[in-house]
Amino acid sequence: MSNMHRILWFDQQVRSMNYPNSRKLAQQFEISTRQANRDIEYLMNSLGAPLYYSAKSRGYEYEDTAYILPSLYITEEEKKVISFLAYRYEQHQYGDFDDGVKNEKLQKQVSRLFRRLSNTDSTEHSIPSFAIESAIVDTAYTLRLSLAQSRKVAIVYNHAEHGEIRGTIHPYQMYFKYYADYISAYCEETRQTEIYRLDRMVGTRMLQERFEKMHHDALNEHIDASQVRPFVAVLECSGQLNGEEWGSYNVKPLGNGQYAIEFIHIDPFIDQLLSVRGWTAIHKPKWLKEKVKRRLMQLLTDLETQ
Amino acid sequence: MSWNKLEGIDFKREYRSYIDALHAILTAAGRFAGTKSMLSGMTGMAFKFIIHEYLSESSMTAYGYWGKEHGEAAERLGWANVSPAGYIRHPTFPLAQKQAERSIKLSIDRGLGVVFWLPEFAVIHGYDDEDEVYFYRDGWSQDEQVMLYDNFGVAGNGTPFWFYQLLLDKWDRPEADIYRESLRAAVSEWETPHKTAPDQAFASGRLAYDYLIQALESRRYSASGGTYILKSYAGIKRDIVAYLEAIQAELGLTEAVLQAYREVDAVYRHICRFIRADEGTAALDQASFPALLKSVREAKELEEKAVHELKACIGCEDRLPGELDIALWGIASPR
Repeated sequence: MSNMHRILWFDQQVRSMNYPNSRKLAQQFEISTRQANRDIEYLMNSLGAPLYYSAKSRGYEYEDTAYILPSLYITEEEKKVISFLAYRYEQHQYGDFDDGVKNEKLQKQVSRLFRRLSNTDSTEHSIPSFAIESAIVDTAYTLRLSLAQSRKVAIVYNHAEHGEIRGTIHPYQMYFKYYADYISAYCEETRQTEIYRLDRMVGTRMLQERFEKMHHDALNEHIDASQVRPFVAVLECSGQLNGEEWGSYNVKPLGNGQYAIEFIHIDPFIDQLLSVRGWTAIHKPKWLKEKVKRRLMQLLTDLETQ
Repeated sequence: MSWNKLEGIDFKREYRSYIDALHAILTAAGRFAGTKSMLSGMTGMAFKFIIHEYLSESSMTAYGYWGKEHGEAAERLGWANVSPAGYIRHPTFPLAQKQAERSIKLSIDRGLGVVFWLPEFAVIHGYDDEDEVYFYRDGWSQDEQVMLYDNFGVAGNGTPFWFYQLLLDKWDRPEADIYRESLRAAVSEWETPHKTAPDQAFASGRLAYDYLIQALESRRYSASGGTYILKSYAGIKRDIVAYLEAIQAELGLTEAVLQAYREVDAVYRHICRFIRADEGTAALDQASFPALLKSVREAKELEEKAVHELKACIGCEDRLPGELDIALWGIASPR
C-alpha cells in the first residue's frame, strides 16, 4: 500500500499524544488535505482504528489505547477469514463448542492466525471453532463490506422453491441461527424485506450504488435509489460522531468537527437528528435547519397544550 | 433570483390530482376564482373516465398522453402553456432536467407554480439555488417537501416517465365557449374506447364500464386500486353535477341533462357504501358483490343516457372558433 508510510506516521503521532489531524498529515507528506482525509478514513474504516477527534486538542486520539495496527503481512484471504470469524465470534453463543473438539486442524489454523496477530505464543486460549467454507467466507465478506458501506449487492440465489433467482438487495443485518448464516435484506424485485441463507448464495457482487436503510414500516416503499442523488447535511459535532448511532448513514468527516451525512428520506433523518446527541449545529442545507426548528416548535406547542 | 417561494399554495389532494394542483396554482396566483368542480368541468378533466383492466390506481391518471391532455385542458381555459413530458430512460433526460430547472424557476419568478408528476401530480412552488432544491407540495402533507434539482423526475417516482406544465399567459375566451367545448369533449371522452392506444389495458368512457364490470365479475382486480378508483370517480361525478348546475342557465341546458347526471351521482354515492373501511385500509365488501355489480351496470346505463341527453342538448356538429382540432394536428406523444 502506497500510503502505509503515512498511516504508520499518523498512528505513531496518535500514540505519542500529538493529536495529528488532516492538515498536519498533509503538511508532513506534502499531499492535499483531501488525500490526507482519505488516509484517515482508510485508517478508521478499513483498518478499524478507533479514532476520536478531540475538538479541544484539534486532533485525533485513540478511544481504545489497546488498538494496534493490523499486520502488514495479512493476505486478502486471511483478512476475509478474520472478518468472517469476527462476525461469527459476535454470534458465538449460538455456536457449538463441542464441534471444536472434532476440528483440531481448524483450531490450530485459527490459533496460528491469532498468534501471528497478537505476537504471542500462547496455546492456552479456549476458543470456539467454526466450520469455515470458503464460499460462505467470500459471500459473508462481500455482504459485510456492503453493509458497512450501505452498498447494494447483486445476487444469484438458489431459492428452495423458485430455483435460481437473480436480484438486487440492500443488506440490513447478518446473523447466525440454527447453525446457518442468514442475511435480512430489502429486495428490489419483490419490494420486501427477505431473509437469505448465505450457503444458498450462488453469487454476490457489490455494486457502486448506495442505499439508505429505511425504517421498518417504510421498508416496502419503493425507490429507485440507483438514480436518486442523496441530500447532504453538514453537521458540526462537539466530539467524534458516534459510529454506532449513525451506522446506516454514509458519514464523511470533513475535519474541524464537521461531518457530511448523506440521506434520502427527510423525516426519518430528522427523527435521527433528534434522537442522537453530539451534534451542535446544522451548517447545510438551510431548509433542513428550518424543518428541524419547525419540528421542535411543534413539539413545544404540543407539550404546552397538553 | 437565487431563491424564491410562492405563498398561498393551498394544494390538497381530492379526486383528480392534476385538477387539485392546477386549482392551487391558479387560485394562489389570483388567476382563477372558481371552485375545483368548475375548473374540473371547464378543462374537461371531469369527463375523463378511465378504467384499467385490473383496476390499477393508475386509472386516475392514464387518461392519455399528458402533453396533449393537459395541454388541451389548460388551453380550453385560455392558457397558453408548455407541457413537456418524456421517459426517464431516454439519454436526453438529464438535459430535460436542466431545461426543467430553468423553466420552473422562471415560472415561479413570474408568480406561477408548476404542476409536475411526482407521482401523482404535485406543485412546485419554490426553489433555492444555494441548496439546489425545489420546494413542493404533495397534496397530503401540510409541510412543504424538498427535492434536489438533480432528482426532478426520479425521486419517489416509480414510473418511467416525467412531466411538468408551464402556464405562460392567458387570453380571454368567452366563458360560454369554454363551457360548450368542455361538454363536447365530454361526449368525445365517452365515445373514445382507448385513450392510450395501442395499449388497450386502459379503457375510456363507455368501454371503461365494461372493464370495470369484467374486473369485478372475475374478481381479478387490485383491491386498493378498486376502492381508490370508485371513491375518486364518485367525487368526480359529484363535481360534474355541480359544474352543470353552475352553467345550466348560461348554456340553456335542459333539466333532463341535469337530472340524468344527478342520477349517475346518486348511484356512485350508493356504490361508495360497498367500500368497507377496515383498520385504516379500504376494501370492497365481498359479501355485497352482486349488489355492487348491479349498481355499476346501472351507473353505465344512466351515464349512457346522460351523454345522450347532453348530445341532444348541445349539438356536436358545429365547430366553435378556436376549438381544438385533433384530426388536424394529430396526437403529440411523450418525447
